[in-house]
Amino acid sequence: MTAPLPRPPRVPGRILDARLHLLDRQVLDVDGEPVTTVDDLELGDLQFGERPRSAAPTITALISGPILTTRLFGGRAPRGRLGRIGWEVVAGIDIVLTLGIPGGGLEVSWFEGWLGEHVIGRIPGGRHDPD
Amino acid sequence: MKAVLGLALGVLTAIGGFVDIGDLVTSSVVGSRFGLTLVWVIVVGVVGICLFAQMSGRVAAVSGRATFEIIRERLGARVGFANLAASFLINLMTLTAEVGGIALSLQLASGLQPVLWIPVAAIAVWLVIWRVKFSVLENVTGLLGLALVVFAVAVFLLHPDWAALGSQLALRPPPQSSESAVTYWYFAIALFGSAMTPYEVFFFSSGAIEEHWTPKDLGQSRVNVLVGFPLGGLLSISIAVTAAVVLLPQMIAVTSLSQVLLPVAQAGGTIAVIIALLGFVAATFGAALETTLSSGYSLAQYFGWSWGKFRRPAQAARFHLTMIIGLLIGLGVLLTGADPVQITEYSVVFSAIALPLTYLPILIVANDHEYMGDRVNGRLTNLLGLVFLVIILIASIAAIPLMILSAAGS
Amino acid sequence: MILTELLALPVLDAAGTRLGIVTDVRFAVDPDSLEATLQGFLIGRRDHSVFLGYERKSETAPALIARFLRWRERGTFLILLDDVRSIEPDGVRLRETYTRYSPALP
Repeated sequence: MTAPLPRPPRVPGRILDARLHLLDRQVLDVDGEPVTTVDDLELGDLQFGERPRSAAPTITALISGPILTTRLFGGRAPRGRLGRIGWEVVAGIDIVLTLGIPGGGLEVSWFEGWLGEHVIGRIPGGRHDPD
Repeated sequence: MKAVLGLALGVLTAIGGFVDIGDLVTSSVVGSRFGLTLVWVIVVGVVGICLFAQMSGRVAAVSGRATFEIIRERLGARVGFANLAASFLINLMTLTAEVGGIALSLQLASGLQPVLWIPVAAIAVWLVIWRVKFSVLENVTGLLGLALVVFAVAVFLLHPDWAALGSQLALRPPPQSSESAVTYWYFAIALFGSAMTPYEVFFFSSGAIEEHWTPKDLGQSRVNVLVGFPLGGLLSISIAVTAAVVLLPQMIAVTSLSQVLLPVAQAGGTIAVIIALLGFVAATFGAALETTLSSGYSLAQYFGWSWGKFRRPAQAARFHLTMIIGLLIGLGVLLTGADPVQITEYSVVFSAIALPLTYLPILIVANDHEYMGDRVNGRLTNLLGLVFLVIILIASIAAIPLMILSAAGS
Repeated sequence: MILTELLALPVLDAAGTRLGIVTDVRFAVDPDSLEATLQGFLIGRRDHSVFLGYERKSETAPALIARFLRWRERGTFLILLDDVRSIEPDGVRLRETYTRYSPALP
């Protein structure tokens, strides 16, 4: 039997694994309203090629939307078509990710907003309080 | 009264699993062809759905996560998508069948052709989802669906040969029954799959969030499950028993909803038939609501959209659009003359995929401290959960071959 | 770079021997700023999306599933970023000397 592997040196901060804790998680806005799911993550300071020892890549954005089709079926989505939520607006990481801002103005919320305004909202009763 | 009404979610969920249009006919078919020798399957199904609905309700109340959200979080986007595809197809096929079932029930009640009732039914289902409060929706359909208890009453009014029934329960086939083992097991799996159809847990856990259940409501969740599903199972068994008592001896084949009523008519006359018809309409309507809402819930939860009847429709736009499109597709399919009961038979195929992919994540998350705090599963729950997962896997693997070999039970 | 471009990349040591594939990426998150800094990669033998996490968390139930999955993923280990020489579209290459760390979450 192989010996147990050593523990890595301790670093400050909470340890999270992307796939285990972040990917495919629900994103809520500051009011607790659903925004989208985390379909992918954008990593800054990381490119293909040799790695310089000093660089410290960080997560720079949540990605949502069209990226899902490439995740499911393969291929590579063009950069311009990604739905991006800057990491700086993330306010909390738990079993859901919470943003510090309302979801309405976000790029990823465009279609829901448009649909609510122009289609569903136009059907009688669409804007009524459910209670 | 409030305590009674607080059970409505469990009862309505159970309606979709045990007395929807597919089950109303299948229970009667099973009773008329196999006597009571398949009742044990319904009992096993009741235990299974109680176990997993309770788990999913607890997960929803404690973590605020509905079942389909968990499916994607635990299985990942790809496998979660496979489940979504299968589940969405099941939901779509079933909601089509249920709307058709409402029309069939109304035809029996009124004599008017179903093609007239189909658009009425589809629009009525949509209107209720659009405007009626969730709690009202579940209470009314749940309570009215209990009219089906007339089948249980009918059993006693028919003065059956209890000894003969008892021997069938003990798995000795009745003399008039000459079915093959393949057909027997096909129906066993169809009944089991129907009792544990994934949309029941999608609906129950999403309903828990619609009702804003918190850990304080765990007791209520448990009562909902322990009353609702056994009740549903009992209604299904009652229908089978009436068929076993009246139709089996005369070797009457059940091919339509009207034959399901024959034993009730014999037992209690017109009044009993009227009550049964009320039950049919309420049960198919309830199942239509359940499956339509589930199609919205599963799609919205996979993609992270806002959902829920507790939100203004304009604030859950994609959720409502999904359901509108689903009902329109169902309407279209029904107007081509498709048979609702046959549609539910074919949805069994997709259940084979959706069942294991639904219940495994529930079992895993119910044990995860990050979601559940210290309210994780106990040992017994885990043991039963694993046992049922194995049963579910076996049923999934055997479903399609058995369907082919038995020509879907014909 | 996007995360899913990294996942499932083969991982090779300096001699070109295949050690496994990238099954996850580990970050350290600052509790105040929530800045998430890449610490390293989790290397496993196969892409195990369905049964995530049992080899790293201390969840023990349901017992049978936990045991089966721990056994299945027993070859997983953590590589810190410093031990990575290059990341190419066809694979991640490690430096001459590298350390295999335990994948367990603290």
